[in-house]
Amino acid sequence: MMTTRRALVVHLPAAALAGSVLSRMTFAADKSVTIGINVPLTGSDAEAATQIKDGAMMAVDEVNGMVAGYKINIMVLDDGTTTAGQYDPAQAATNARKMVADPSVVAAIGPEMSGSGKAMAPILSQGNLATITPSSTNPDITDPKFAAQFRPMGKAIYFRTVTTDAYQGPNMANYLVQTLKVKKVYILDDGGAYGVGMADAFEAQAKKNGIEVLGHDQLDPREANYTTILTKIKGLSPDGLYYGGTSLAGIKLVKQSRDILPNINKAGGDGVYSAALLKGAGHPAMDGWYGTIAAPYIAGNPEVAPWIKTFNEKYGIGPSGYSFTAYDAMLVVFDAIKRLAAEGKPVNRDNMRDAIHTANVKTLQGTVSFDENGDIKDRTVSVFHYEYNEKYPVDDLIHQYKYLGVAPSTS
Amino acid sequence: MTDGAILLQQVINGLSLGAMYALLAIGFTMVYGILELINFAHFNVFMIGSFLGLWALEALGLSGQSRVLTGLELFGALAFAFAVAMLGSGLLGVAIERIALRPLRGIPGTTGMITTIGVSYILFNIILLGAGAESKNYPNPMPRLQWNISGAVVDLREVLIWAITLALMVGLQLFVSRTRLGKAMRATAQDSEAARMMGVDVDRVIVAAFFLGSALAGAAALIFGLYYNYTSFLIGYSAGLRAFTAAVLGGIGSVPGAMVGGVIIGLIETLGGQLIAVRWTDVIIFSILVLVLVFAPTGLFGRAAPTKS
Amino acid sequence: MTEQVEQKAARLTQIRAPGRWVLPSLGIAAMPRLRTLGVSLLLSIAVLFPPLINNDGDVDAAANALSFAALALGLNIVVGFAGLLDLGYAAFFAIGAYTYGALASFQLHPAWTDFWQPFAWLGLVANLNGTVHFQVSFWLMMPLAAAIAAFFGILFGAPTLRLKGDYLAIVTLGFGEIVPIVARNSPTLTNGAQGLNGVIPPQIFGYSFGISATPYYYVGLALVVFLMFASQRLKFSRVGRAWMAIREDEIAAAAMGVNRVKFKLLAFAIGAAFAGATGTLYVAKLQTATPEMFMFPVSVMLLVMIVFGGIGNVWGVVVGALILQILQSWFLQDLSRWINALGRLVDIEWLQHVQLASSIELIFGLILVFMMLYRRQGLIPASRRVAALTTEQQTALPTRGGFDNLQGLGALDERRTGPLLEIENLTVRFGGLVALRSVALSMPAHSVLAVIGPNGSGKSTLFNAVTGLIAANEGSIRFEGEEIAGRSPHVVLERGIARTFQNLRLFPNLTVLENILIGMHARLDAGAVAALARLPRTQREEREACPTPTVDGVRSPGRWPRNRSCYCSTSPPPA
Repeated sequence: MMTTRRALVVHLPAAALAGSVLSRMTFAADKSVTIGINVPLTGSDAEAATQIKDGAMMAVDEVNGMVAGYKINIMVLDDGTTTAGQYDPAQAATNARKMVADPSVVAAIGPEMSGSGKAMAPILSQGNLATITPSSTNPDITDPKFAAQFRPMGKAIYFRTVTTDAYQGPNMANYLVQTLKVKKVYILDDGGAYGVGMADAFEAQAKKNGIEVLGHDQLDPREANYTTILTKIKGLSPDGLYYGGTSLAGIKLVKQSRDILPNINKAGGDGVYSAALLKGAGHPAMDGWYGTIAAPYIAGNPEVAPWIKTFNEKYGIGPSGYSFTAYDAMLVVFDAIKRLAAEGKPVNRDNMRDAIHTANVKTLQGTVSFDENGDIKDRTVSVFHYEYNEKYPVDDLIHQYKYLGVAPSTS
Repeated sequence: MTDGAILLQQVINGLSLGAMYALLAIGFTMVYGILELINFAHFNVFMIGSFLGLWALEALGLSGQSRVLTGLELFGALAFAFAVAMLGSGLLGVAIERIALRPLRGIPGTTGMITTIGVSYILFNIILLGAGAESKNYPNPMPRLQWNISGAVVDLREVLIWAITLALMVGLQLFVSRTRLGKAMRATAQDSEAARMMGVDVDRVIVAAFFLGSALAGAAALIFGLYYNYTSFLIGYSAGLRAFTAAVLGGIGSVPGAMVGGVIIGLIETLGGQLIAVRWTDVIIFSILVLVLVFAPTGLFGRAAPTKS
Repeated sequence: MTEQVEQKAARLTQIRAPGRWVLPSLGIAAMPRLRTLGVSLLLSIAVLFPPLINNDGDVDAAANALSFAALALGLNIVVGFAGLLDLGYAAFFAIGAYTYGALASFQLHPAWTDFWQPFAWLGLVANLNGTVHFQVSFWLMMPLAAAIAAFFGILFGAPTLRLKGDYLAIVTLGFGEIVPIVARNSPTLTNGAQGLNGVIPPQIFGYSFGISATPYYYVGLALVVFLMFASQRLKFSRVGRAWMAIREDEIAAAAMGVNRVKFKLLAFAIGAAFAGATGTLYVAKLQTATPEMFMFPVSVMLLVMIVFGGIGNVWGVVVGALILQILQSWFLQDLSRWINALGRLVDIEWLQHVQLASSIELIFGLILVFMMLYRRQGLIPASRRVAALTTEQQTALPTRGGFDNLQGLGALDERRTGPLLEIENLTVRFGGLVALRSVALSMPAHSVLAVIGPNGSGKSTLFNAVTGLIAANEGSIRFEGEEIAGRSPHVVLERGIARTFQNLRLFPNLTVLENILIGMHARLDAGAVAALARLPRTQREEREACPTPTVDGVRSPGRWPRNRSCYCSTSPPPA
């Protein structure tokens, strides 16, 4: 008995250590590079994270894993943990270190969530490892005001194929006042980093636009009952409701607000434009909701239809708005590799960062290029309206949401 | 809506919530009354009960809220779902007692409670890994009927909740006061050794308490699903916290206390959210919990605090 | 000749028997020298780990593991030593983290006024474009955060003092949940849900820690080593014995003179201090802090770590924490990768997508249940088997240890006249039942008084009332002229009344020596600081308290009583 226990206590960690060490021995191929993909595959954002990973992998599969003579290895890292129940900044930081410590990693895609981005950016800057995020929208990370915190080495390393919440929330506020003629709005957020940022940015712009903000309260995503706050909102008689946050709270909000606030304008950010929300709430609860994404509308482009079809067949689910931007991000990375190879420069981290920064690539969302901070130059925010289409599956974003147009930017 | 109507609406909301919390709290307090054990797993039995109800309704071919039944069909569907949810939860509770708690009976201290934390985690993660993290759309065959009471809206769902909760509570009360097993349970709760000496099979009483408590949680879970039209692996957490506070407030170990406590907590939640802000609800509830435990551990109806070493 | 051999043999058994420390689960009988060698080896590996592994990501994971080991040590003090089940321990972690974060980041930026000038001279703040930029040094913040966390430990612990195990756990759970919610709803202080930005990395002699995980690893290692050292020092001291007495049997501990309030609060404070210091390190490394990092699952994870490793055993909890953390961040991920590769090999779909790391909470739950059912002591148990006494020792003539000179220690004041103990009009009611009605008793000094009565006449109640275990409803009890009715049992003991229990209340999980030393509690006065520093006067105090052996009738200096059983004189019994 003692021997068995001793064996277990001694041999198990030894085996683990040996195995981990072994698995880290990379047998160097001739010309290969590694690209990291860091998304929260564990926790409440798992589905959206998978859609992003799949979008990026579409690009890799299209070129059969070879670009300009280089073999492309993909290192998928999960920055979600069960303790956090979603993305975990500590895990994201560890993943960033892992990527920086591995010399074969020349670029990265991700993270999905800005909370991870904040933890990763300083580490990536230190290692001069560029990452392109398809969905992180918190403006602080690329804001020159916070450059000392998020890019201590000075150069931009946090690139985005999506624009930021500096535009997403406020442009929707413009849409609400200009197109929907909303006069009084109540704002809710889900207490998360992304949701609070969205709601606050929306609120500031709404006030500037002359909309009366009746209140701003916070939902607890673990809570089930939102009838209290919805009843309170009903008593204030707004004609608009804005929700900043993800589907965890969103599903319950959508369902319960249908009964209590059936007739007002209800809008949200890209947390509302998500397959998880459609699956959880769907018709008839979602009827009439507006959602946005911080990118141009890609799926409506008929040239993109075959891409969507391939995605559906390969992965069994439809793409999210950020599957496209993830695919585009990977295209930017490939374009950088091709340009470096053409110029005869070595494909290493530093050159990749410079090449990515000077990218001008034709992608699904149009031409992608970055400004001096790493933000995408195209600041389009697209607005969608949920209109149930029974011919298509419930969580088919492209067909259940009707594209209305570009949200007006703040002049 | 007028202020008065809004307040009335919040009161109606609060009573519905309170009914759910009361059902959940009763099961919890019954176990504590007999075993002096805080059963963390109870709230995830509740969560599993809602999934059982979900699967039962889906087995009948229902899904989503679009298909509505009436009359005998509705009654049959609901009866079936309640039977499955309550029976399943009850059996789960009995299994937990048998496997994880019986071997530890008699050990003083917090060993039992720690074990229930472990069981709670296990249940939580089985559902998370098995059924996935997304919220599930709950099939709801009830027709949408509403009545207007001076500006406030009462839905058929609310009436259903109150009716079922009252029926269950009355049933429980009758059971506890009229039947032999019920009397044995009350005796064991007051003094298990004396009860044993009087010939009460304490093991059987404990099993009955777990079964009943968990079955009530299953009923609460199905009500939850029908009310909110969703379920997910997370629902045990917040409903559990509220129900736990309700049990403590009402006096832990006292079944009428749990009922009253549940209603009070439901009202505090809705009126607090209306008058203050929803973001502070958790803090308010936790503060009530802490204050009651520190300053008035017997709660409203409870016995003197047990002297557990 | 035979006597010499006998004595030599006895001396050998003296050395070997008490010195033998068996680690039951590892099956290693470690003599002190072997143990020291093992520890040195472990320490060398730990120190050489970063250059050996040469991978920043892995060093970072190891640094995280060390942080959790430090937290586990802190929780071990509260739960393992003092027996107070704290389910909200992560709150102190949060407090330490946010304290450092607030005072060493761009979060707080009041407008600059001359008030801040002296602080600027001290280097604590800087004038940044007319606003105050807090840049308190990490090395200063670590103890400061520990102190602030300790304060909150006392604050959160105070309401729980009268509560029993389960209720105490729930109240601490409540506090543990309130803290992150408050953090989330106080954006000015903590930047709420968005997380703190730009926490300054520590600097030492002008070199900033920056991004590399290695310096944080070393700080974490030093912290863990220090906390282990502190835990051991506290455990084998008057403070540790008081905690263990409280854990085993509060009432008996109080009757032995242990001030329960003081020591419970001390446990909370020290445990919280450990967490506060660790919070500083963790946030300095991560350079951000969000409320989600400090919620209930973290507290449960720490509980699982100490249950798994061995509640109460310092090495045990560190091992438990390291194993579980490595499991989470390393082993399970690698295992998943192997399983995925296996799945690709044999082309089984679901194997390719298995992610074991997400099941870590399921594993935690299973560990908790399994450990509670089958091995409550954990991997490395806290209570160790002490070798039984040899026949020689059992039949030897014990000499008396302890204090020869009782002057000033509860000795009677001979100059006093009047009764020693005077009870007047004592009435004790239990609800409607009157147990004692207007009892009057007068006991002169230097007397032996017997209280005789039939069953249920209230004898035990009388003693309990006198010694403070129950409160009297009416009446007065005066000892040496001083009123002691209603005082705490330990106060009554300090005044000079000790008691035994009808049903023996020993401390079953403590050694005989420790039981005796707890009886000494009121006569010793080493506090936490003295225990940590092991001042010479504290050492002398402990030596004098411990029954010492005599060899050839001469008292030899006793060793610091660790896990050695009481050993006695080896002179043969008189003929």
